[in-house]
Amino acid sequence: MRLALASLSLLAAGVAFAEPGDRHDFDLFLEQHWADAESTLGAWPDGGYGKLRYSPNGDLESSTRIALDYRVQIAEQLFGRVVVDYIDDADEELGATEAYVEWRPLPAGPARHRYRFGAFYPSLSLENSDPAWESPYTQSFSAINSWLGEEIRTIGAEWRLSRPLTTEASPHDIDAFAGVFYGNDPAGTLLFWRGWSVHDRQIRLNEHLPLPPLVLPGWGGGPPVVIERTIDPIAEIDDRPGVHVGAEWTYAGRAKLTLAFWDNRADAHAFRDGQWAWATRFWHLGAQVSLPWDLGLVAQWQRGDTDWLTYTTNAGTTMPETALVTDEFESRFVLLTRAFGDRHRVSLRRDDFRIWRPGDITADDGDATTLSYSYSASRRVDTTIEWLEIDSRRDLWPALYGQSVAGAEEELLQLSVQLGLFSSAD
Amino acid sequence: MPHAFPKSALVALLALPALAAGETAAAAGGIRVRILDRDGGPVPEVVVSARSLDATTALRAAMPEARMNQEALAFEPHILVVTTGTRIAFPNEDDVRHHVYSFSPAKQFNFSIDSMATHEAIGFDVPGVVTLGCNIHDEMLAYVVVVDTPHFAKTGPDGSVELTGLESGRYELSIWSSRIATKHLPDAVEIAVAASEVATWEYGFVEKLHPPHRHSETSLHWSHY
Repeated sequence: MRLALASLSLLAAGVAFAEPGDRHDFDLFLEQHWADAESTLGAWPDGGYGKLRYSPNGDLESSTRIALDYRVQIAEQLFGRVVVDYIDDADEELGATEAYVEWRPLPAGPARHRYRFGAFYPSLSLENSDPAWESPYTQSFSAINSWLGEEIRTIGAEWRLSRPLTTEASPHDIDAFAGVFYGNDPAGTLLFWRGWSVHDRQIRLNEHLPLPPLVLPGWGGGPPVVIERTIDPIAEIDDRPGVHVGAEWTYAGRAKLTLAFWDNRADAHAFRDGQWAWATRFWHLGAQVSLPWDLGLVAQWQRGDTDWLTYTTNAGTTMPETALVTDEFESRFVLLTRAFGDRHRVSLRRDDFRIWRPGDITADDGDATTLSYSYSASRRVDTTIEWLEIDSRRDLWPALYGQSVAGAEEELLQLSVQLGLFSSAD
Repeated sequence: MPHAFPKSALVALLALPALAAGETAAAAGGIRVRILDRDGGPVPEVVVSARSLDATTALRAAMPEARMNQEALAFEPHILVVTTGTRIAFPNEDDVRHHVYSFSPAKQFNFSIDSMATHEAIGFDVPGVVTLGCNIHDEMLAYVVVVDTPHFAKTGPDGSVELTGLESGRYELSIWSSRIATKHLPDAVEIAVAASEVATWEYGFVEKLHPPHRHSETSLHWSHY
């Protein structure tokens, strides 16, 4: 803890004082959470089936995140960005969530090109617009963006084309983007194993996340196999690049619509270093609209599928090819938010999600409601109190679990204080 | 060159003489302009300029140096009107760098500006609209409107403005708004100005105007890190 704090502080201090600051732009903040969870399932970061980040152990759970979002101008048209954080309840306490360079050539006509190289989030979430991919609206992210934070990261290149601010007045801005990435082959594993979730925990590059134990039927009448392991969602397994493409339309800073397609193009038979590839692809739709009375609406919808075709054991033995898992998944949410001056914000979000597989088996089916109130005592101190309720159910293999359905009602009351330690805006 | 009134767009053209306040010996006239949207509401921030059709010498009276500020990741003002030949300085009051550029035909340039520094004034010698962007902050947007006359102004919140100090004679009046495509702007109109009198001209847009540009946040965040 002390070492981590010292490293981050040194980094920030270095950033702040090494040079006159105008080529640097950064935010360093500390976020402290206190949470009271109620659930019949264990928290997923502890390897449970629950959808919450915190354990329902009767005590107040707490966690700390210290994050540095650092942006630098390397050359006239070349920029860099690194987001590093310390999370006290992670196995690897220090990590980086994003690290990339961006080439921004000067527009010479009616087209603006931007290129990113490195590790970054694909441009999907409309919720996570704050530094270090936090949400300005709620503490916990929607189910869709919780999953993007856990399992989706681009390590590759992305090209973005914008119709720029031309001399011809128009309220319409059109963007198109396309990316090629390596890694992210196991993406979909956690979604299949545990189901959807609602939280604010982002995976860092080269971090492993625990999976709940899963019982699989034994082969050839053998005993059931219990798999208990961790997942590295960002790993490259089959050496096949994945792709994402999308388009974004913005109307006069008042409405935004995005459509994207993401496909890791994984070889669903591949297995390497204890990690399986899951062929995962999805469509993603996002909308953001300014409503009357200064209400803001954010909505996202996602639908896709994930295949895991070969049962390869931990020992590396490949079983005969069979469609072991073919899951389809879908989630959507609507968030309403209203800022009251500079100090107060109230947000309400409704999530709906499901995962299903052939044979009408419900792997996950539920909804979540999040109500959040934030108070900014000053530019440096934000306090959020949030109530979250998730109802879900899933079909089980009765022979293995002794019951056919597992339903859970999970509840979380969370208090968060975010303290700005340094900012280039200071 | 004839200055036909646009048939489709022109709602009202009134060149009625009115009594000017205080009939002084200088006897300068004026033009009062009011711009309305298609619902009859006032349109602020419309650039109005009047060019004398009688002046024998070209009016190239450059103004004193003008300024296009950058503060809180926005250009200030959003629309800056200058006369041909005016030099504009670019003070950066932000704590980050900006890289201002234009690829508009009337003036093409790009330069970086350190934080709390001012880029030396550059001249705008060709009439026209110059769109400014920042290559570091894609949301930043501003217009420099370069006019070939010393008689210009922007409409206020009530959609009105008065050009004053005009010598009597014939004038070509033009308007420009960032909220509508150039092809939907009205053609220039000819207006006679008599000594000590204020002519009035009212124009109503037939086409729907775009919403005004805004960079401030509402309840939603529009630009992402």
